[in-house]
Parts: sequence; structure tokens; C-alpha cells
Amino acid sequence: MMSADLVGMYVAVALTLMLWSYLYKETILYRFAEYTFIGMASGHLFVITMLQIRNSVLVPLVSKGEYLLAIPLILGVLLYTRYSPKTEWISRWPVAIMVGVGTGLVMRAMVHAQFVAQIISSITINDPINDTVIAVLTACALAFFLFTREQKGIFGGFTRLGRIAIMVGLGASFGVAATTRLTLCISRIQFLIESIQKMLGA
Amino acid sequence: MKMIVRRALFLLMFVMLAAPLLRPLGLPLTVGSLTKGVYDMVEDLPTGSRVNMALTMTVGLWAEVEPATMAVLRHLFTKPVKIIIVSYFADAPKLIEGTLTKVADAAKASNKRYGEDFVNLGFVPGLETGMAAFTKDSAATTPSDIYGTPVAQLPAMSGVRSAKDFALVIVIRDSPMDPYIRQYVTTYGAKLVTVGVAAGLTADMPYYKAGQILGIVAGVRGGAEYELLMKSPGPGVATTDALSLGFVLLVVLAGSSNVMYAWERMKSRSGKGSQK
Repeated sequence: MMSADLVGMYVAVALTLMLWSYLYKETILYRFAEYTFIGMASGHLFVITMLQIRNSVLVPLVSKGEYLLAIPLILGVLLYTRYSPKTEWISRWPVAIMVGVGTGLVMRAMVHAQFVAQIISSITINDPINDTVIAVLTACALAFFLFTREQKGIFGGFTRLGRIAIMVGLGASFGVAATTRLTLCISRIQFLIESIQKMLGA
Repeated sequence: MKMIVRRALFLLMFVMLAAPLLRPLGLPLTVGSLTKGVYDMVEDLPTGSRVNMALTMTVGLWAEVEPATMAVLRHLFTKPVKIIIVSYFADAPKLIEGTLTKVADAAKASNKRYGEDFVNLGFVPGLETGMAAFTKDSAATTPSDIYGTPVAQLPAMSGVRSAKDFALVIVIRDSPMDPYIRQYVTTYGAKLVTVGVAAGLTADMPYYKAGQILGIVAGVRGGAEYELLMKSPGPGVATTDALSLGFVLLVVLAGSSNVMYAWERMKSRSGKGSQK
């Protein structure tokens, strides 16, 4: 009799091959695997969220008498009023609170983390060659986005250099993105090889 | 014709990736300063300090990060520190639970016990809002661990109040580092390193240069480097040969397609010239 792990492995192998059938052409097998994945991911997220609401809000509210937790619970329920045109306006209140809290939390640290620290880092020279290149190319890349002045002459030279710097940056991003995709493919191939070895061994 | 060529290329890529997995080539691998930064930070952890392993990972990209996560966990288990794991994405608690099972041998070898030396606090919703709450008051944000045990009964959590109590924060992620920099580094001055997907490397570099991130293990290559530093080659090293061959094919294809494009363009221009 097959163990649950072995059944799981067979299912995973089948789903992997179904998804890869897309490389030949879009097939019904591919669609089945795709919808299965989306359905399972949604189901998992739903269960995790419900458990979170139960453990963090409902249990303390009911069994421990932490009545303040009723406020976020009510605000959460109010979000669903948006599905009716008549009550849609009510959902703006919880959305406004979420946006307000989120913006406040981000803004308290954003200026230093993403502006001041980055500017200081760009103009601080520790490694003379690299840091000078970074400082100059950063200035040139920023100059490329100045559209209030015609990009010609010496200024045009700066902006052209900035454009090249942006293209090099995008190229590097593409390269590392390709690494990620190749790694995912390798991991699946590795899984298939190991599974086939197990199947043959069994 | 184009469709046949496309399918042939997919097949060629499959062969290039699968061949080194069946017969490893043992291509040379050097350790970069980014990975060494993470290794050194873990190596220099003082006795009894607490490490926060924070995850923003989804299941789709876990394969790229898991080898490095395993290597870092194995390293952490050799140190006299407490590991507090928290997840800001819903997928992550189960992912790290599986990885903890895979490195259970290392925990056992170092006599590390769940609850005393490491804990998995599970999922904290709200991403940056949840992060801000956890860094401000960890026990109030996660009153129990993933198995429902109250944090008061977990010795590893004793003395943990805010992000200031962590000697090191190790971020395992496939999403941008910005929230961590804002909530952990800028607000609490936490020392932070990251293990992430390679695709995030270029976005992380400005933070690394500014000293806001002290080390980066990028993708499976970074994981392989960490395994070399640990002197125990594992799944990271096993996949780097395939990755290298895959890249050779990508470079050849990118180069040849550019040459073909330039050739076509030249031909069409000369065609227009002769028509005139």
C-alpha cells in the first residue's frame, strides 16, 4: 500500500509535468494544474486568515474580555459594505484608517531610511574609484529625468551617460531575475530526477 | 518554424540544466564579500544573544532561498544563541517549519531544543503595520507560537520585548527590503542581514552601501557560497553547476539573437537603399 508521502510525490510529479505542457502549447492539463494551484493558494490563505482572526481577536474578545478588540473587528466587517452601492460609503472609514495608519508608520522612518541615508551614502567616498563612479552616474541618471532643459551640449552628454547607467542597471536586474527563474526551473528538474529515482527504486 | 525553434530551445535549456544534476561538473566557486558579511555577523554573535529570523517569503520562490536558509540555520545552531522566527507572509510559517525539519539533525547535534533555543512564532498579518507592532512589543503582537503555546512558557522568548533586544535580524525574503529598513533599522538601529532571491540583489545594493544591510546571501549561488564557508556542501552547491550552464546558454542565445537582429536590420536598410 502506498504511503501518503508517495501519493503526494506522484501528484506533485504529475502537476509539474502538466504545468510544463505549456512549453509545447496551452493545454487543458496546464489549465487544470494552474487552477488547482490558485485554488489551493486561496484556500490556504483563507484558512490562515480565519485562524488569525479567531486567535488574535475572537478568543481574547470573548474569553478574556478584551473589548477594545471589537473596534478593529467592526471596522473589518465594515469593509464588506462596499459590495452594495447604497452602503459603499461606509467602507471608506476603515479604508481611511488603514491608509492613515500605514502612511504614518511609513513616513516616520522613510525620510531618513530612503532619502537622507542614501544621499549621504552616495556622496561619501570610501572606495575612491567605485564610489566616484556611483556618485557621478547617480547624478547623471537623475539629470536624465530633468525635462525642463533641452538635453544637448555638455548637459546632453551627462544625460546620455545617465541613460547608459540606467540601461546597465536594468540589464543587471534582468540578469539576476533570470537567475531566479533558472533556479526555480532547476529545483523542479531536481525534484523530478529524485522522484523518478524513488519510483524506479520502489 | 518559429514555434519549432522555440520548442527546441526549451528542450536545449532542459538538457543544459538537467545534465549537470545527473553528472556534476564541479565548476569552481568563489565566496563573495556579500555572503561573507552574513557569515561573519552570525559567527561574531555574542553568547546568549537573540536572533530574529523574519520571513516575507511565498511558496513560489522558496526553492531559490531554501538552501541558503538551511545553511544559515545550521550555522546558527552551532552558536549559543536563541532564534526567534516570525513570518509576515501567510505562506512563510509552513515553509520555515519544513526547513526546520530538514535541519533537525543539526539542531539535535548541537542539543538545540524547540522552545528553549528556537521558536516559530508564526504569521503576523498586516506586513509593515504588523512589523511595526512586533518590533515595538513582540510578546503582545504574538501572544503564542505557531503551535498555540503562550510565549510566557517559551524560555527562548524571555527578555524579548522589542527589536532592540535582538543582536541580529536575518531577513529571509522575496519582496523588497524597504519595510525592514524603515521599521527595524531606522527605528530601532537593528543590525540586519538578508537571505533573498537573486532578483532583489540590485534593489538591496544601495542599502548595503549605506550600511543599512550588513550582508546579503543572494539566491542559490549565495547559498552555495554559505555552504562552502560552512565547509559542508549541500543543495546550493549541487545546483550551481546547472545554473552556470543555464547562463552560458542564455548568454549565447542573447548574443546570437542580437547578431541576427542587427543582420536583419542591415539587410532591410540595404534593401530600402537599392529601391531608391
